[in-house]
Amino acid sequence: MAVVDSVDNQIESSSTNGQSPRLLCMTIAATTAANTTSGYTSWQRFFTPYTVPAFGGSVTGALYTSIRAITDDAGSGILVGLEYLLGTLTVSGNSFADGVEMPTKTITGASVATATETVFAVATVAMTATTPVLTITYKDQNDNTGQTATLTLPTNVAKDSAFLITPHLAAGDTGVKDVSNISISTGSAGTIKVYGLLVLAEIPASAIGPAAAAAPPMILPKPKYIADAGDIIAFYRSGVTGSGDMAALLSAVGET
Amino acid sequence: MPITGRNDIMKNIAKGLGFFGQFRAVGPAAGNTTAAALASGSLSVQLQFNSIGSTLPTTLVGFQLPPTLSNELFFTRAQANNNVGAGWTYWVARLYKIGTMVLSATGDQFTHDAATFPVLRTQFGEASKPLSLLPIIYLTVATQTTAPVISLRTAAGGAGYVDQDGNSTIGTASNFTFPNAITAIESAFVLRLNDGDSGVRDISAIQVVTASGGAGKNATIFGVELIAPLSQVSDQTTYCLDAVFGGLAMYDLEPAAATSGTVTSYLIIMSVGKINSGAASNPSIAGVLNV
Repeated sequence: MAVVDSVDNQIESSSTNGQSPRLLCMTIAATTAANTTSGYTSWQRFFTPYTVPAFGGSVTGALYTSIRAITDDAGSGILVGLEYLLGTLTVSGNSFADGVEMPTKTITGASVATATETVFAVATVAMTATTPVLTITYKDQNDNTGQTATLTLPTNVAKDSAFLITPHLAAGDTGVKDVSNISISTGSAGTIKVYGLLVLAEIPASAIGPAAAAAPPMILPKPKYIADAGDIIAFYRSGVTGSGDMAALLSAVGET
Repeated sequence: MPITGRNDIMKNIAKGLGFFGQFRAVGPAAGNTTAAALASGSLSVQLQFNSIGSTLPTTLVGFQLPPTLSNELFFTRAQANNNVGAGWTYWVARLYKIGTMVLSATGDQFTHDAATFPVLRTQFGEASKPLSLLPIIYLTVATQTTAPVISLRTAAGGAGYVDQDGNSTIGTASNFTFPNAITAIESAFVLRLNDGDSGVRDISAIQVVTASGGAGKNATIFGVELIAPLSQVSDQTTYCLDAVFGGLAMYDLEPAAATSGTVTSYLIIMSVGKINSGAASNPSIAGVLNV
């Protein structure tokens, strides 16, 4: 049953298979602000993403119909997405390790080779590097290889700082399908991972901190991604660099 | 091939042929602007730019889209929070810089930017059709001593703007008076047009009838293209706009092209109606590429 096809199908799946609620709580230390050469908006990646569990019975995938999150900084926004590790750079030695390619997903009944809706360079280990130039070589949304994005990062980037790559893609590009290389001009420590996201929900925070967003599939004009077992759901926070907390409640219905 | 329906929108976004951005805006600090009055357009306007890179009001950076796209990027949805208070109206908007002016001397004091207006888009099947823009004056230096009075005309009484229909128009004399002798920096107002006019394709002249005291009292003149309303009736809420299913309004997020030259433009949040309390918004904006 294609739960993306109708609310009735979702209701039927919910009553037949049960929903899959999950409460997540996570925290983050202070991070490093972006600048005009590294994404134009400060972002943080919470380092405890959620792995979609194995399914039971006849369930083959999960459609997250409700995503709600609360964070303690009213001046922030929250992004929740299916996250794919496209590549890793170990700064010491300027060593690249390839990740995965963006997956194939079924969208409105057709198999689609996805590319990133948004893509980040994340310091998963704090860096020791003075305004390093990061060069990412990638395959774009139209399968053109050898495209490059260049960012100049701030000095000594703190762990879990995330830098938006999208404004620095090659002219005409909107997404990344695959990363073939990451290199850095200088630095002695740290790790950078390039993550591509398919957006599940975006949640602006409000003045009193709590922010709730539903990802109602039939309302917002965005693709309804079926998550596979083992997919990673990651949480990012925008606009701030301070330490903070987030609690999120995810609920999915099963695709059968 | 252009988008032909809902399925194309969803597939294009999934293929990476789209855009999603979540931004941190910055506007005037609390209490830093002067409210409008009847003679200054009646609407207090606040312009919020990208927080990183902007030093208001002199260095302006808009929200960044993917670079140098060749096709339309149709707006599909937006969300924003309201940290300010009840009754605010936010708009996702694009500012086009028409020119600058001096308010501390009388006479013809407007200098048009190098780009030639009108700015053009495909509208209703007509390619390169002129856009009608909302004219905004944005103070980059506060006035002093005397509230300036201006007219959208030359000092000799000639035309000062091209209206929404392409008519070269002599603005009504002395029809805009700043609300205060000391009108604060970053205050912004809608320029008053002649009765019956709703926008401008271009501005060619602004006469300063009564000048501000002091020297170097400057302002920037923008034309505004409204993209999406994010109206909020209560504070501490978020507002979501669906431009596909909630009333089709898939406007192009990419800037319109100048008639000649390159126009300076910014994708921003524009709030209308109240004096800023200092809090900025965190909008998210998404679109799909028309391929």
